[in-house]
Amino acid sequence: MAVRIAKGDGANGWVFDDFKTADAIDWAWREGQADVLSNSWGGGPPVDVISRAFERARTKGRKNKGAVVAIAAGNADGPVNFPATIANVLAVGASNWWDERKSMTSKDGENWWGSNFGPELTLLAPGVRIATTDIHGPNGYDAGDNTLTFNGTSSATPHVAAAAALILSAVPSLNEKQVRDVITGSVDRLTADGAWNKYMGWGRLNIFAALRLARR
Amino acid sequence: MAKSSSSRGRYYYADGKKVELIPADDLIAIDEQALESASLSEAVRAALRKAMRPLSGGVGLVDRAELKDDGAEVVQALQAASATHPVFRSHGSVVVVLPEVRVEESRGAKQGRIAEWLASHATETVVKSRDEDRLVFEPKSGYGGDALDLANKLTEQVGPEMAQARFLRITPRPSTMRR
Repeated sequence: MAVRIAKGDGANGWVFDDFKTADAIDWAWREGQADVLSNSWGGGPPVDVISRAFERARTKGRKNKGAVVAIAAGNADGPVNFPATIANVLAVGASNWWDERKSMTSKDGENWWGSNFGPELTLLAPGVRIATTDIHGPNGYDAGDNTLTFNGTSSATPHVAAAAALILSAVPSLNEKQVRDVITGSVDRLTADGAWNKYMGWGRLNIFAALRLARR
Repeated sequence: MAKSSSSRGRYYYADGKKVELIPADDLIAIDEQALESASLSEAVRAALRKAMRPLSGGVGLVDRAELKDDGAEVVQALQAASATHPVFRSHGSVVVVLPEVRVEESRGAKQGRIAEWLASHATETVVKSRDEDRLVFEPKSGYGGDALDLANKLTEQVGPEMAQARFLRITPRPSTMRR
């Protein structure tokens, strides 16, 4: 289900009402019974009203097994955005076709954006030139019903959310932390020593490996 | 409680830490309903309505540069009619504070202390709703800056799990699409 939390401001911004955003998060796990919350939004200062709503989703969703929360890290090639800074969520950065962290200088050549990084980053997922459905006509990114160039950690995050949903469809008994552990424990490691770092997180999402690990 | 000017730095609490808010004096947040009672000419009111970007909760944002002579007199009239709310910048976003405070507390003893605190601030606050672990109150002034101050005061004096003024945040759209 889609839950609307923002609207355009008539200029170049999105308007969020933090109380309504928190209510929407609570609605998603409580009334909507969402198993996974995919959040391709963020920015601005941290607020407890939103952090606490995500914490309720993560601990009380799915009849107390916990809903999985994936949140985009942001696209400024700088520090991770709130709310991806919240503890124990999947903070998602973007990788490119070369399995690099998307940066201003990565091989994809898109020098106008980069994936945010920092101590909160969990993992990367593909976030450059992603094919997806699109708003029809001139309001969309492309003229038709699809686009081949959806970019950003906004496009990386749904990959991780979908992975969580697939894992839960295969093994519904897993709790929220177990799903996170499966996802982070099955990534393709991108650092020389295979360790977590603040640019790559644990590595790049590997859904097939995650499903295999979940069923073990 | 006296109305606080938006021209000085303010703060609020998140995760137990103070977060600084930088005044955005180039922007004016206007309560659309209160605008109608401000002692301004209909022409000025119409110009404000035209310049206003509607946000949420009946509040709109106006660039001060769009007002004649920096709009000092207009702002004064709006403030006198309680038609403005403070505007800040923080973490790359614009934040408008609305006159509402949400309090969350699950511990019984603390709930009692919050009730006592509200009783001792009954001249400044009005409780709008009360659920099991949550209550919402508003400053009687109807001013967002007072909501911010009251939430801080409650945090510092009682320390509930959460006392949060209502923020509208305007974040820039990401510019990640192919150029």
